[in-house]
Amino acid sequence: MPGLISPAERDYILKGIECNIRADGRQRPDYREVILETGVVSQTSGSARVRIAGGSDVLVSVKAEIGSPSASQQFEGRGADDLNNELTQMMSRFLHHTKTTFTTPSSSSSQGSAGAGASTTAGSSSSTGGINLSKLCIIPGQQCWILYIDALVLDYGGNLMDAILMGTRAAIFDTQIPKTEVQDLGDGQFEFEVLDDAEDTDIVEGREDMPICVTLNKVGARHIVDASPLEELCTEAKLVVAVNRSGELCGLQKGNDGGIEPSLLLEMIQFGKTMGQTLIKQLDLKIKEEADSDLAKRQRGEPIQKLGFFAQ
Amino acid sequence: MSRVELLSPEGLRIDGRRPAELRKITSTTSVLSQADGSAYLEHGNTKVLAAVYGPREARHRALVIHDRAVLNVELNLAPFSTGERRRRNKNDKRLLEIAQFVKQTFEPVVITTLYPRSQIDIYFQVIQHDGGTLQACINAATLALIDAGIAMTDYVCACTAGWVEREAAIDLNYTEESADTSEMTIAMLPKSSKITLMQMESRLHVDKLDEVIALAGEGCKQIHEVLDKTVRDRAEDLARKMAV
Amino acid sequence: MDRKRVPGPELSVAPLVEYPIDHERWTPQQEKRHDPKRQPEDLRPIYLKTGLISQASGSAYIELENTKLACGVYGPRPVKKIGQGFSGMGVLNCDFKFATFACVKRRNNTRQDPQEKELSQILSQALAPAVRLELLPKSVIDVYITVLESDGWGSCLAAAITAASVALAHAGIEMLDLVAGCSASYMQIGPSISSTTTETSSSSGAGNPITPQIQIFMDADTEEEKYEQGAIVLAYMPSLNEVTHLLQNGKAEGPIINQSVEHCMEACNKVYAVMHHALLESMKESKDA
Repeated sequence: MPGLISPAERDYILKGIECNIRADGRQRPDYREVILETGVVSQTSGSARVRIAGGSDVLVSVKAEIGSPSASQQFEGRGADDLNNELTQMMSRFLHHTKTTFTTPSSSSSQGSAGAGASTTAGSSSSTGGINLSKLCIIPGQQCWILYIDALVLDYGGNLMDAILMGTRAAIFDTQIPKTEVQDLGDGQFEFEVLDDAEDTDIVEGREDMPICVTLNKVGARHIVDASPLEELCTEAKLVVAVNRSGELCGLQKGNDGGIEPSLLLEMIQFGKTMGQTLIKQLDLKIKEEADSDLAKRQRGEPIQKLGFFAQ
Repeated sequence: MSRVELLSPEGLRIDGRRPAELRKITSTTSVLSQADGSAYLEHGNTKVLAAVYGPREARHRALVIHDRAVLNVELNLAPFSTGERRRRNKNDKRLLEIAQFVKQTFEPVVITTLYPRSQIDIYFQVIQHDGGTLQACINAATLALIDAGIAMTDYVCACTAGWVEREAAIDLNYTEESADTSEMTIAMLPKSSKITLMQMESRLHVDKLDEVIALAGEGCKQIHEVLDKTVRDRAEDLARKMAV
Repeated sequence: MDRKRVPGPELSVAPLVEYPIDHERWTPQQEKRHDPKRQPEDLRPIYLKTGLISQASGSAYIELENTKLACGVYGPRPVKKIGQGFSGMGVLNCDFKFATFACVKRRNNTRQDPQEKELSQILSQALAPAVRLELLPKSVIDVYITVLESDGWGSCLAAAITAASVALAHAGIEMLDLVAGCSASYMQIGPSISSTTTETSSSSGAGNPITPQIQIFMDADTEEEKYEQGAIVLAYMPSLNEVTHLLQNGKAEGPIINQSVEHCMEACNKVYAVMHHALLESMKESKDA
């Protein structure tokens, strides 16, 4: 990603934003086109690829594996550098019971992973992420499904956080968890069997309440959404607003080295909330459309073609 | 332990291919906006993304060679790429080894003397792993290097071949790889039929060696056709877009 | 008869011990906090003192009852590595560290864990708008925070921001304003709450027409944080009227957030007075000495 910007270029962008015209012709509250595809990696329980036109490209996968619930139910994050650490921590805060890790192999393709550990003690935690963790339990206190969320950043073109959370929501909607059958052997002993039926699977309960986020960038006295890499360099302060479907705020975080006046701050929160709700509505519509068309094709016995990288 | 039947009595392999049949190869170039050159390649279910950066100024002064460029290859395996989710350390020996093989393969082919005192980075991201990672990486790197416009003497095409039960077979998948079959990867310059890489870590009877190499060479020629078509299609597409 | 034990005199009574807090399990009830002496909007009493670390350019120690941390500021010093590149702006390098004994669970002291890394980053983002970094090209200011005891995650971060900005002022680094930090937690109020039923509470939240009442508690301690639905940490420059950092987690309706932001800003003004006092005291001391 470019790390430097000339004063002239900065001035051009600043003045443009002041006049409500951005370098790529958008207005301040305009989002770029988002391209979404689910079910792109066959080896995962659910996956999604989100591309923001002309830039960021994120591949998110959800993998359900059986493990034992962690006692602490704390998030663990491992970060290779600042950006990754920031993203993982932010994601784990917004999704609440998420274990996140990020590493960067190269300057533009960075890779992260997050795992949501389900525990039987889900009752004591207020679940912001919305996933009903008690439904992921197989044998209380011993075995449960662990949802690992891995986000692979393939290309960077600004507004990474929004793309990742959108991808995560789509991937969770795409996730199918195999059904299990538990046998009680008496005196506290249990045994379970994973039913190997691709047709009969569970969805992730509470997936509708997964939040997405909107990153607002304060440039001058104005704020813009979906900033391009150059606009991100001009940003004084940014505010990430995480919202769920019903319009509840699930997380706020200020970033960058600048301050925000209280009145503008409250306005930005309000704006982010409304924007997020509209985005979620559109996203859900697209996810549903794709799931329906896939289902129809499967019933007719047609092969499902995923474009993946061949989409241009 | 019951052995998996890798070759059916009719002579078909576990995924229904004949012994000398390659998996379906699909590829495309210029998939990433930030990289100078990039390519995406699928060998059946093995999916690899390659990105080339450079030639650019060397990151560390110690790496600079005054009369040619340095190749730097890094390989990364996505945690969800294998059947069981596993995080790999960036310094995983196996990954470093594959990266080293790719580097050695390309060093004689890329005309590094054209880019003195610079560095060319090749990054791989394996998105799905189903055997033949090395061959997929080399083929993807060829495409990405061509996409980046870096001078090379020829294409480099790689192909694996091995001895599956009683016959020589080409392009082994993960199941065949994990059974104790002998497997060999060769990389070839199709124009001169020179071999730039030959890698084998298992036993193979010397009498069978010629047959396996011949088969792998045949595979390389086929792969070359696919890669060449991708490059030509992309060039035509570009030419059309420029004419408009 | 037990010879080893010294029996007390025949006329003995049990010692009089005054328990500061009743040992019943505290549950959130309106207007009553874990510490019964505090009102919902009350902060814990703050003890703030500068000049604790003699070797540092500037330092501060802050104590909010059980939250105790020390901050040392070193610099500005030139950038050590030549390879780090030229920068026209100074760099604020924050390092947040929990002592091994600071939390309920022992922390490993070798390297910064991800949480500490993140807190370091938040701290530097919260302080950067106040510090005039443009006056210090090619230099680095190091801010080291050591948490000795942590009682409440949010209050710990807020205290760190407060202490760091006082320490920066003590070090004589030019700033536009002092940054005061404050935290707030919000939780559902009422006797019906029990820690075992998230399912019922979420279903009642959806099905019940009566929305559960939400109470905002300023500067929550660990016990209160256990019941919180979410928390907010705000860093604020009172004279400039500018928010330098905002961090919120947990689900909440918009009005609750607005209300807690306002509460936090009010509280920051109170903290600001304490910071002023501490700095004036340190001036007096240096004059005397």
